[in-house]
Amino acid sequence: MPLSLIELMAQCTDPILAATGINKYLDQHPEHAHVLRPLLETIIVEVQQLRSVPARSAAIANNAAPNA
Amino acid sequence: MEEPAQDALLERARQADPAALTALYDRYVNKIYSYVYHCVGSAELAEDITGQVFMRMLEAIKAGRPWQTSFFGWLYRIAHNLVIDHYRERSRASFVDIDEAAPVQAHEGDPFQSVETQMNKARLHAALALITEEQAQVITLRFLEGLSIAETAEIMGKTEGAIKALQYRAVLALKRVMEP
Repeated sequence: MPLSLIELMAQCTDPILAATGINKYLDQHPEHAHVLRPLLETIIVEVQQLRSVPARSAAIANNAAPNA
Repeated sequence: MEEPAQDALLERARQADPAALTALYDRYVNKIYSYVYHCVGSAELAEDITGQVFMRMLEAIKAGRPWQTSFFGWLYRIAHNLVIDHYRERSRASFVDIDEAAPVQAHEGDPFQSVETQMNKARLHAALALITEEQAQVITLRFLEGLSIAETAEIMGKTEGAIKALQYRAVLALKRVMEP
């Protein structure tokens, strides 16, 4: 596995988390874009749709608070 | 990833100071709940395990076995271990049990779209069960919890370089198992 791909993905995933897009990064590395783009799209299209979390129940949350 | 301003709070918590423990609970409970929810896919179960995380925290501190270097990493590791315990008990046949999956919520928009979204989520949960435990954890911490490489490394007890490599392999593996 080429180290450059690992490093490049690490650089590209921060803009994903910041929701600023990935094209700017991929345009700087066109030789790797064909490998990285489908991987990054897996994160953007598939994984990130799971980010939402249902609100915690206030009653249960209060019961869960530790009592020292 | 503790900030300097938190050092005093952590030191008081280390001595089992009730106010400090409550402050830490308030600061971290939603993060831990979110992480556990993303691992188990059930709000009710996530609430239960989150409560256990903080009980374990309290027991460890009172027993004189608090965190060594990072409270943040220690707390996530407690949560992760409890999630693993849960799946060991359930034999980790699937990442989320259909009986425990959150019901489809009433939705103001298109009900078919809502169902499709739920089905996509179930498909992704199933895919996460097919990659290694470490790969699933790095995807959860990085892309669902939004933690940095450094924070993820701290929680998983690895170097940042190892997390970058693991992240690459994890996304590659996830893409492969999700391909039709």
